[in-house]
Amino acid sequence: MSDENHDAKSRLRVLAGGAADRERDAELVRAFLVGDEDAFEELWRRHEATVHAVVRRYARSPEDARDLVQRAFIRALSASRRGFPSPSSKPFLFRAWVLRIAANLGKNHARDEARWRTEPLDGSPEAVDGSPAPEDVLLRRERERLVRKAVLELPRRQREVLTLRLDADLSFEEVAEVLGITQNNAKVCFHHATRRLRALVTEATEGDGEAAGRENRP
Amino acid sequence: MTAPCREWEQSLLEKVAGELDAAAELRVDGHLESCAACRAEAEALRQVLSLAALPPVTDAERRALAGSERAALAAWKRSVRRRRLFAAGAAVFAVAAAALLVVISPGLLRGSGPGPLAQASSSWRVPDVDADWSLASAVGPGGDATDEVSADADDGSDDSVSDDALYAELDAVDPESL
Repeated sequence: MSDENHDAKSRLRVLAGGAADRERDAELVRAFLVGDEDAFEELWRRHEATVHAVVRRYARSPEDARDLVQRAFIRALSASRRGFPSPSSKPFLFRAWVLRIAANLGKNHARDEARWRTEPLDGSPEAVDGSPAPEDVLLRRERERLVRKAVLELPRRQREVLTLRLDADLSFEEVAEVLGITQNNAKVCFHHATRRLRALVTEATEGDGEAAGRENRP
Repeated sequence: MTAPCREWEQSLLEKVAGELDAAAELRVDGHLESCAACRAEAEALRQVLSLAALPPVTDAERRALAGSERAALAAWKRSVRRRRLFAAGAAVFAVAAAALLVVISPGLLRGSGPGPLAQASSSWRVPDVDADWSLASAVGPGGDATDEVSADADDGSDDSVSDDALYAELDAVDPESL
């Protein structure tokens, strides 16, 4: 994982849930629903990066991802307006709501448009230096394409757990909270998803090895 | 290559996912130092997750996101206005429908005419018991107005006259002659 990516994920971690964060979210949502627009901006700042991280795997373009982020916020706030929980009911988890909505929106967007992205939005080796990528880089890109496509084809729960963990850098505790499952269940789903992807990569590697062997044979 | 140790599988995955606490990390690292199969497995898992991960956010994505909260806020306001307009429209429609119902309902009730019960009650009269009894007595003792009507309908004969003639014939017969 690159340093830049690590830093970005560290920023996401800072915003991760906690009792104080949840209470602050609830205050901001209440304030916004009675007309405080500054509260909206703070909510946006607190969660924009994580919501964007969740939806970008499903987006075809940066603009697609931006639209999905906006829709996730609006839907989460609409849901808050319709049914703000009473103090006696379960704790209000805006962050879990907006991330779950974002994951569903992303998945539906990809399904409806039949355009699940299998390549990076930008930053491919060619885009960086304009020269043809070396063979090993091309091989790596091919593997990335294969594995990312396989991620989108994982069973729903496994895909949700894996992408929330990998893309949004949520802990298993947070993943469980967002999806409404147990932490152990989240770990098991992650385990199965990773095993499945690992089997796929192993198969692809063996296939490449056999192909190379055939080419080298006299 | 030998298979990785089954009992360490979950720990290896959690290590690669960065989910281990410091103490567990130390234990796993200690095992990895002595187990080549688990080292290879950990590396393979790391490789898979690295392939599955998305690249860092690009400048193009940052540019697309810049200022998008204002657009989201504007979209929210539009949706609120639409909801309010819809709610106001629905309220006006409900009031108009109620008013229309109040205005036209008497006409509807009149226009539909009296029902069977209303017709029955309007045609009902207090029965004239004396007249009815006199009608019954006109039939004669042991008689029945209905029977008489039906008999008349059969052949138009007068039963009371026929009976008298029959009785007269019987009286005229000499019992000794039988």
